[in-house]
Amino acid sequence: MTHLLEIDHLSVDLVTHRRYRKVLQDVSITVEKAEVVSLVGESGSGKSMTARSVLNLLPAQGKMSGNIAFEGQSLMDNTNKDWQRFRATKAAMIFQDPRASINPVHRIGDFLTEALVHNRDMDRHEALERAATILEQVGIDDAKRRLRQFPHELSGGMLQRVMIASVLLIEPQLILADEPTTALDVTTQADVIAILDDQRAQREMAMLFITHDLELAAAFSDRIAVMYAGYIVEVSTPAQLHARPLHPYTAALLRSRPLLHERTERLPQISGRPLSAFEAPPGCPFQDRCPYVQAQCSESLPPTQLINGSIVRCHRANELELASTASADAGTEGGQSRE
Amino acid sequence: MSDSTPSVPAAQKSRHLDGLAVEVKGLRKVFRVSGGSGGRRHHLFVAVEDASFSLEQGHSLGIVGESGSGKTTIARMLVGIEPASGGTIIVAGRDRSASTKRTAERRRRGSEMQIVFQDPYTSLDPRQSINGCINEVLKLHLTMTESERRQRIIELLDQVGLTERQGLVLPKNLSGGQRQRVAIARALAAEPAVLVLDEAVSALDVSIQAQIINLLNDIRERTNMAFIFISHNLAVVRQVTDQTLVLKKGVVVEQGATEKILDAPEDDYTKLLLASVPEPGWKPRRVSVD
Repeated sequence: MTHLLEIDHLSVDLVTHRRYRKVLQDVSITVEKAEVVSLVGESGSGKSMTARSVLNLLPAQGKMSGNIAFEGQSLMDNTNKDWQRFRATKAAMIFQDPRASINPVHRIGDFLTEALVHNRDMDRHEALERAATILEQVGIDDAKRRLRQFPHELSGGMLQRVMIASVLLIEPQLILADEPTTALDVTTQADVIAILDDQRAQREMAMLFITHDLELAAAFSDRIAVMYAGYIVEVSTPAQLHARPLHPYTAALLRSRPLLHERTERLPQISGRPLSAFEAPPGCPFQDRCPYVQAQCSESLPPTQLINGSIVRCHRANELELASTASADAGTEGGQSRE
Repeated sequence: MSDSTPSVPAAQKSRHLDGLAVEVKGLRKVFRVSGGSGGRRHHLFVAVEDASFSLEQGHSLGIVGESGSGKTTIARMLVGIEPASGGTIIVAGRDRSASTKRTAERRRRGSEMQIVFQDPYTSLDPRQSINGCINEVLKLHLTMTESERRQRIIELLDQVGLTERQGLVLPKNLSGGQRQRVAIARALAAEPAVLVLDEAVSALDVSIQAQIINLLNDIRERTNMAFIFISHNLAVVRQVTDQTLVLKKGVVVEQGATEKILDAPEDDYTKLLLASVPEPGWKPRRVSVD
């Protein structure tokens, strides 16, 4: 079967402080047509870099190995021109901060129609008509007036909707969204997510959604991939991930969140700090912070295994029984192993 | 993080009066905004309207709201960065409603109330070592010999889960979570009666956030310090506060026990905030158009 997007054993090295450092290690994930896959992780886990790799938006001198294929065609030998065409027609990115990624001296209308006029040779008036229609679909009233406004005249939530409109306009098959609502208020976030998911679903677009918020990911993803230190450590459905996480990091992350509906006497915290890929020790990247660590964890990198339809990268995934809430494992002494 | 319980100096518990740590009545802030509509040069913008609350020693008050709600303006008025346009602020039994230029008075206010800001990257001096930054506060607010100060710095670092060695480095050598702990240690160094935390855990990774939340709860239990916790994150507010005040566009729409507000909110805006938090089973809804 041909996947819409297939990332296969992708590793990426970037230059920092004049030397190459690993940012992604052996990342494999697929996205099907109209599917929503979330990449979840803490800072430095590689989730943004995974998305950027798909659009070839890595910093200069970045080294990629492995394969990325779109509709069965490898993108690895793309020329710059191919990439431009790819980004203009097949896949598009929504960034976290719309103010930083929308040119402040151009009117909203120019920003929205640029791609249509330049890449699709569409007539400017027709493009503006299209833009106005889409603005209304993303919940912006008085679209004709908005098209003449500048970015500073719009609020952050409004501007992020403009960004979503700009992506919908080019009708890509894949949307990459990098923390698109992190900078927004919660009520605005709910609004923007609803619009994004609604419009995406209507057009049968797939989405790779990047977030640090497990609950947000769970709310509308088909699958969630958890990243740590440049690796994907677990891929699962939201329901399964929350009910029975397979990787100790996923479980620890779920348990350390403060809950909205009940106060936890003391949050079960993960000791240490999240590591970047280049800092990770040989073997399992999570070994230093893992309560279930054994000798084999430092000896070899755990292979990915398939358990109940989920993918996990942990030597002990088969024997561990992990809980996702602090209260759930109160009776089991912190989720001990079955043995 | 260290499990040891460093001794809290007796002074820290008794330096300030028992009873109310903070009492705020009718607090108001009006900004004069230049430009604006109607051809006028200026117009007035009310950022905070008639906010009143009180906070007992050892308790913790959450101030929640979205951007533009006035929560940070309240924090800035409390610590004296921003003068209030009206109302009274009493901290540790002393009125600080009027701003002051007198050094001694400003220093005293600093010793009564400290603040930790959201961004640990911009709130520390990049050229000052961690030890130096805490030492400065100890020198300013307390009478201690040099060796007492050295001892106290080690205690404070330990209290926030940092090692002696980490005290020697510059902020750039620490991660975001570690820097935020330094900011907390620096605030604790002044032994304030009240600690104001303005979105102090918002920018942190989930696993680090849990460490800082536990740390704050430990400190409150050990020291009887009062917290004012400003946040947009209701789950965090549930975890660290016993009283909560909900602000919308400068107006207090609801206040009371945190549990009551989060479990049985009365105001529509509080309900909207709660309904907007993603959680299992949450479906995003189009709720508002700003």
